[in-house]
Amino acid sequence: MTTVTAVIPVFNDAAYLAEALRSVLDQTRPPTQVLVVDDGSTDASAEVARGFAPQVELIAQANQGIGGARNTGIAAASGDLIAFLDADDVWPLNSLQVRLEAMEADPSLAAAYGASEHFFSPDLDEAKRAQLHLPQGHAHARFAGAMLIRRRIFDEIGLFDPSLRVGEMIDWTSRLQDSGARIGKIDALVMRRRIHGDNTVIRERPSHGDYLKALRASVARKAAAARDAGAA
Amino acid sequence: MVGEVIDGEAIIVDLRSGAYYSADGVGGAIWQAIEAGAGRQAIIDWALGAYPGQAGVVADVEGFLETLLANELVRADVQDAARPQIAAPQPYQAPALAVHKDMQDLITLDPIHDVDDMGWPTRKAAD
Repeated sequence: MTTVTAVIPVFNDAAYLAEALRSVLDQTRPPTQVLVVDDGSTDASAEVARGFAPQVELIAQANQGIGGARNTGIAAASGDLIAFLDADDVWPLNSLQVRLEAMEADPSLAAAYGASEHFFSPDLDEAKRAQLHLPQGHAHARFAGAMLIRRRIFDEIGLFDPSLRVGEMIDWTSRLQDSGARIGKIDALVMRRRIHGDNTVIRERPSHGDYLKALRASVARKAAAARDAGAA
Repeated sequence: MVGEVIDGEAIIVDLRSGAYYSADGVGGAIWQAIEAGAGRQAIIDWALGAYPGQAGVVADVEGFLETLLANELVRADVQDAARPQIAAPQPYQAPALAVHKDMQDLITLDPIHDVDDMGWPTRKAAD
């Protein structure tokens, strides 16, 4: 049987964590292991996670950022496959099932991802909604929460770069892609991404430098690959 | 649009389209000149001074600037005539812009590019 570990990093998202965890536990094909990595929260996040024991295991650490928190989850994961979910997002109930079916149908896939949609958090008042843009429709983006990933891939291409406060997924996805690994794309909706006006990116400003660092590394890999191809 | 030059290599990200660009060597130096406010003629003058006797320099530089314009990375109305004080990479190689579109899904949907003091993710544009 395929085993799946769900890794949910949380940093001060107590208000949303319970909904995220219920969406994980209620899956039509639930994960075999659910890990919450509390990344140094100062709110009640750990308490919320403990309320879901024993189905949910809690790992606490000093704040390292989202990449470091995901890495902690990977290190503790027992599953052959790993699925991430940010603590403020939710999975539709068949999210894991459709991704698992894709991975089981094609063992050569290193990862598979489906579509995401954005929603306004119900606690967001009208005034704030009016100031925020809500991307419409389903978007196929390689968000961490939309992917299901073979654990061994992390041994091959490495973990998330904990030095990147944002853009860590761009960096990791770029390494995955440049490795030549096969990535499956599924039509189905697999993640709902919450817009609430306090998402990680705003906390981590200014972070354009991290974006540029991740993209510079991507450019360097492409240049090296082109040199290798030229030399071959 | 954000960009920076490190060790002579420019990385530029168009946060609206999700494309990112790279230019090293002479192209990276020209991008530095643009960041310093240099206009078209000033850049051509710089290149002619930096690479005397090099065939095709003016056409190369003009072509590179046209590529930047076509990708909407620069505006056509910059007129600063002061010759930029930028070191000339050696040996001369025609400047080239590499275009990368493999991260568009994550860049365009990652809200950082429109973060303002109101918070995540974006203000609605002009309404």
